[in-house]
Parts: sequence; C-alpha cells; structure tokens
Amino acid sequence: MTTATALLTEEEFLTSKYDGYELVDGEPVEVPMSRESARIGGVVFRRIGDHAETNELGDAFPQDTAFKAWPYRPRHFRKPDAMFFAVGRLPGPDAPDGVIEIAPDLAVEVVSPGDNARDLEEKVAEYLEAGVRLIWVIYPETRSAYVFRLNGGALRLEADDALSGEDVLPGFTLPLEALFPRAHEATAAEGEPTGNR
Amino acid sequence: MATATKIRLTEEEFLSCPDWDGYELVDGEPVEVPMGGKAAWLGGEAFHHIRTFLEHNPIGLVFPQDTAFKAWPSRPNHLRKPDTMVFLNGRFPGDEVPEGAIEIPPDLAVEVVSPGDNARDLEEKVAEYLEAGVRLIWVIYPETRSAHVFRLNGGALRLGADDALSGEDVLPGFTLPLARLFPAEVTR
Repeated sequence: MTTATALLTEEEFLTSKYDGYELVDGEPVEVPMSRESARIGGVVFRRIGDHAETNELGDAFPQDTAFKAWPYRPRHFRKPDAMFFAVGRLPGPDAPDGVIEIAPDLAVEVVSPGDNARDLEEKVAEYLEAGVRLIWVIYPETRSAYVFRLNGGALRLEADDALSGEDVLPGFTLPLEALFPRAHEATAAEGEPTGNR
Repeated sequence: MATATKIRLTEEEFLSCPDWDGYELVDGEPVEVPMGGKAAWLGGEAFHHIRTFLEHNPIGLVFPQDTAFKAWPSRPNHLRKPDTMVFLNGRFPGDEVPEGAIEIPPDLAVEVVSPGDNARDLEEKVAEYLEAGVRLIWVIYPETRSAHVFRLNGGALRLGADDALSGEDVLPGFTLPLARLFPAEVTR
C-alpha cells in the first residue's frame, strides 16, 4: 500500500500545529511569511479593526484565521493576512465556536519575497469565486497594491495612493506610505539579509 | 550557466551572445526567465493573433519572445524581454526597426506567467514597464485562465475566462477572447 501525502481532516487542520499553513483540498501547504509582510499584515489588521470597531461596521481578523467557502471542496481552507466581515454576517458571540464558513467581505494578502505568482492569482480567483467583495494584494518591494472587486473592477495603486474601504468599509482610507518604511530605509533594507537593525 | 560568482555583463555583451537567450539583464546581471512549455506556446499564440490583426490593420509591428528593450535612462545595463511586444508606426527613429537594442518602451507588452514565476518579480516588471511608459500591459495566467490588464493612465482590470483582451486605444478594434487563447478544457 502506498501512502501519498497524508490528507488532513478539518479538525486535524484547525489546531495550532498548522499555524502558518493553509489546507488545499486536504493537503497542508505552508504559507511562508517574511518579517516585513507579517508586520504590514499586522498594521492593516489593526487599522481596519479600529475603523470597524469605531464605526460598528463589523469584525476584523488577523493572520492565521482560516475560512472556507467552497461547498464542493470540503477540505479547503484559506488564511488571508487580514479579513473583515460586515456586521451581521457572522454568527453572534453566543453561537457555538467553530469554523468560519462564509467568505469575508474584505480579504488582504501581503506578498512575501518567496510567493509564487500563479498561486497568488489562484487565491484571488478563489476569493472572487467565494464572493469576497474586495481584495487588496499588497506588494512591499514595489510599494504598490492591487485592488480586485467582486464586480470585476481592478486598480493598481502606487506609493502615493491610498487603499479605500469603498462600499465594504465605508469611510476607510489607508495611504500606502503608512504601510511602507520611508524610501531611504527601504533602500538600506534591500541588500543581503543582515539580521535585525 | 549558473556560477558561484555573479556574472556582470554590458548591454553589448548581453545582446551579442546567443547564450543569453531566455535571460533578461537586470542591472548588469543576467537573470534567467524560465518559461514553461505552455507559457511559451501561449506567448506564440498571442503573437500570432496580434500579427494577424496587424496584417489587416498595418498600424505597427509585433515582436516575439526574446526581443529585448531598454527604457530606463538611469539603468544602462537593464534590459527586459516581454513575451510579446507591439510598437506602433512612427515610434522608431526614421520608422526603421533598429539593428541593435530597442531603446524605447513598447506600446503594448504581454507577459505569460509560467508556473515558477515569482509574484514580487512579476509586479516589479509591471512597475518598470509603467515607469518606462508602456501604455498597455497584459499579464496572462494560464492556470486560472485569467488575465490582468494594466494601463499607463492607472486603470486596471482582471479578466476571467469569459472575458476578452481588448486592444483599447493602442490596437483599436483588436479583441481576443481568453477562451480563444487558452486550449479547450478536456477534463470534466
């Protein structure tokens, strides 16, 4: 009997052992995250979380929160670097704790140096298929971002542009330069890895 | 061709030696652009469709894979090779195709994503093309049967399998449904 890659059940996957992994049709796939991408993901999470809380718009979730929303792929979980669900979409706090089984209204991906282009576009395609209304893909190296909308629209933003919450997070604006270190620091960080400054 | 020490080349060395087919020159360093069979084939298909259009609408020239251009004055030894490029009539000095390096940005640049392509490197190319003044960029993703469109004026689009690439104001009247570009799905 040959055993292929061990496929995981939902219960096996949703333990701390698989932090930093997604479940792709039952197979755990590591999503390596650079320090800089993790930092930026954290900043975006805090900003959208603060805005959502202040304006009672809904709930934000940080890295390593999984959701599934592909009915014909029961063992398929993705973990955007930040997610937002509009108020009323998730079961209330009294409901039994469990897996998030609906698509977020906003999903954020921060690109790490090792990320594969095809895999990233596959995620975007899956998010749109699942019904995610707004997707931000943030590229730290080029200080740019792509915006994808469920209605088919897209944008490419540069360092002096700002992410907008549009109709998903009304009133939310985040200038990209708030996410990236100032230009001279970025230049200094571009060389070989030198550990912590 | 990988060696322990980094190879540095001038533009002349890079363009005069066939060893560097399949490489771009990134600030003097040759960087391989690995191309899968499917991506190479699709690049050829895109070239063919544009070439056919230009035969009936002679408004410019289309170049295939492995044609280099440079258009970054501050980076003398920096050459990129989109999978397909279009230059409209009147762009080349004297309206003649240069014998040597092409030193102006194309009006349209097409990239076909290969399985090994890095996401950051790809966006870096898009940023460089826009910085150089490329008016229209198509990034084609065979696996998801989708495409990203970027315009110099800042607009962008994501096309799904049922959508079509449009020549917009660069190739007016050109339309290429993605369904026609990608091979028919044989799996059920």
